[in-house]
Amino acid sequence: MRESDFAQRGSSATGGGLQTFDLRFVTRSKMRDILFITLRNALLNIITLTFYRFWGRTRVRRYLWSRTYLLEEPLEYTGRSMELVLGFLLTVLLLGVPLVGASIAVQFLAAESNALIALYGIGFYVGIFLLYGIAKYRAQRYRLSRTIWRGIRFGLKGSWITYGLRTLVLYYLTGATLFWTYPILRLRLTKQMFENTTFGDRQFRFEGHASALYPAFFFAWFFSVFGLVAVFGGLVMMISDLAATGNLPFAFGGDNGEESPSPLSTWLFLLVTSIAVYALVGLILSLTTAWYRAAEYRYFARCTTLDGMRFHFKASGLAVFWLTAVNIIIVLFTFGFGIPFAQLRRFRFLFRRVGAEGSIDLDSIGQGDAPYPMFGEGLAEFFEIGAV
Amino acid sequence: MQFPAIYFDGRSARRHDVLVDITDRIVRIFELSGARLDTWPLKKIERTHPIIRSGPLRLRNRRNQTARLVIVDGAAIERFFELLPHLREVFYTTRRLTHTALTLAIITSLVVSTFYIAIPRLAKPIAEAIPYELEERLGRATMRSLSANWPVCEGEGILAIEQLVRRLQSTRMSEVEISIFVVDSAVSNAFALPGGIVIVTDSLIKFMKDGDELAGVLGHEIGHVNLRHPLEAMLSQLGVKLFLNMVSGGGSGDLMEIGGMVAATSYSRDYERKADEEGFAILIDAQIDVKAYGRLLSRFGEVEAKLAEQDILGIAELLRTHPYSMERAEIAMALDTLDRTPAMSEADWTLVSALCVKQKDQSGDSSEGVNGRIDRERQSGGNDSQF
Repeated sequence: MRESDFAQRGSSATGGGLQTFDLRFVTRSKMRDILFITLRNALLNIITLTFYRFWGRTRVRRYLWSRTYLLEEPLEYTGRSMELVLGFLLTVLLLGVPLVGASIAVQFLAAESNALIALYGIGFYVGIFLLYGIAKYRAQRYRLSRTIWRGIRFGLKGSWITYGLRTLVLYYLTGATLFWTYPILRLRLTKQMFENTTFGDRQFRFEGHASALYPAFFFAWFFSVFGLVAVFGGLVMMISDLAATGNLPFAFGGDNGEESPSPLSTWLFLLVTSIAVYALVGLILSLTTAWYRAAEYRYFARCTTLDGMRFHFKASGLAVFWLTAVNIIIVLFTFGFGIPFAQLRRFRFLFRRVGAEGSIDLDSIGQGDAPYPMFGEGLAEFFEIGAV
Repeated sequence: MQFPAIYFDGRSARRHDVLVDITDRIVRIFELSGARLDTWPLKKIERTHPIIRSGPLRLRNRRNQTARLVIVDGAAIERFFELLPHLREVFYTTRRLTHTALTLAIITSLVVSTFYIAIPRLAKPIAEAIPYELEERLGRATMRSLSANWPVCEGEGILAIEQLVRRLQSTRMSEVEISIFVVDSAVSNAFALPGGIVIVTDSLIKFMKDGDELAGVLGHEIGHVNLRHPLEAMLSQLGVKLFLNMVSGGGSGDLMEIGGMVAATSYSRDYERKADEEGFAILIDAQIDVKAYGRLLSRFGEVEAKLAEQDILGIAELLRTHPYSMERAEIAMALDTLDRTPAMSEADWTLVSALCVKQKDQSGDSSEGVNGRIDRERQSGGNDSQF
């Protein structure tokens, strides 16, 4: 589909009243453009000690949004780089400085009180999940508030504090149950996020139950545990084998007067091993969880409605695996500089596969009253939530 | 002349098929029935989307946040380009590009000046504002955590060193009381902590030939203490770390680590030079041979150079430290102490050299020579404060 056949697609886009649609997003972003933007941003980030990232991110979003069409109208990203800069500086000032102050104070007084260190530790591990949830919610709110389609803003209502607390509780629960409550975590958090999303004066709905995800999760859990045991078992065997034959480039428990290995080879060995393990674990998990995640995408879409429109998502386990596996490889082989590129692949994946069917009266949708934050994403910056 | 277009009024998602009338000052938007929907001042019009070949021109009015106008007619697009040439620019508009370049230039200069001017300059007054009691507390806490890895050696030699410290410190009006520790460590080094704590490692003592060389090192460390460098250095390192974390958003950081190291090194050179100057003055006033310190430094420089040659990764370090130790040695060698007396007796020096040896025998550690020790220090990424 080209922009030139913009004029009309059926009669669906004009006229009033309830209409039936089979909506699909069309993404016309080009990998070549994305590659160019990624490289350009990487270069400017290096020059400016990564401070360019606010401009880079805005640029990427503007591009991606503008090349994503619905009913032949593109999305529009209206966020400004300066909003991100100010959001970031405010977070540093209001949160970063007091937190650093507290941690320095604890270090000063640490020697005298173990209780204080314990308290600080607890505060840290509670705070980190709470803030992670808050950061995610507020970042999403900012992004949606800056997204416009047909002159109407998206938005995110609801309380970020509730979302933060929910994140905290559910993450700890998931850890305590050896991940067996993970589908509940995913469903509850997604539900709050989707239910509070608005397009103009219309609110999305989300009806679902975590039990629908358990059949897929059951397999994912066992395969993942099996895969991890295999990787780490193999690693232990390999190292003990090398140690037994004396081929380790560095010796455990101090050198015994033999010619000592150079720091370079030790460093290289550790680097290569850790990257290899990271890649292997990543690839195995992306394979063992792919079918679960595909099921999640499909189910969450199916649970979501906007007026008479019900969403759907076309994704197979294999497609999800391919997306993640290639992304891991991209990130590894570009030493992290490919992260934005990997995120762009994910963005395209999501928008190419999501759609909605049903009826809606577009003409009756008015501008909404969802919060319109002045600054963006300060906190998300610290958790590296979505560079896109 | 009127052209067909599409209009979204920003109040509803309804799509209006409209006619636009473009003059050289305003754009009027009419419904097909002829009713006027909106009027946009030409000056306030901006493009919302990049131009795609044969695609429409998408516009907004800066006075209205959400209303959008989509121009599909080729002649109308040409008319807009004529009146507002910046709309034609394919990639970035010149205005935005200039704006971005300017902002980046300002930010970069702010970053650089914070790094090289503000942080080191701020460290001094902040250090001065911190009460000495707090500084002592910080020093003790640091010492406690250090002694977990580096056992403190006890013995009669300590008394001899303490006597030497008193002799050196008596040349100054300073009220700071120096606490001296000799620690068992493979790292050849000496350094000062906040609160007047001075640490010398046994490996460094083994590297010395006599009490005069020890006096040189102590004079330098006392110089650091009297100038209150340890606290200042800690503060500026903290400042750099915080600042880099702030700029990068706590982002991952080998680049940041390198930046921090570069800054720490450039600050520390200044500190070392000043501590040397103070140390020379202390030695001369205490009538101890100042050239002994120079000899120690130049031997240290030779070892460093040898190590650097063997190690590819040491190139950067060679550039940094080697000429530096030698340079400092030369300054010391150019000075002279009149009426000098030995820093300590032969007997005392023997006691000092024997420090930590007993502890080592118990742990069964074999002697491995200075080279081996410095090598290990490098592998462990040891402190390179160079006494």
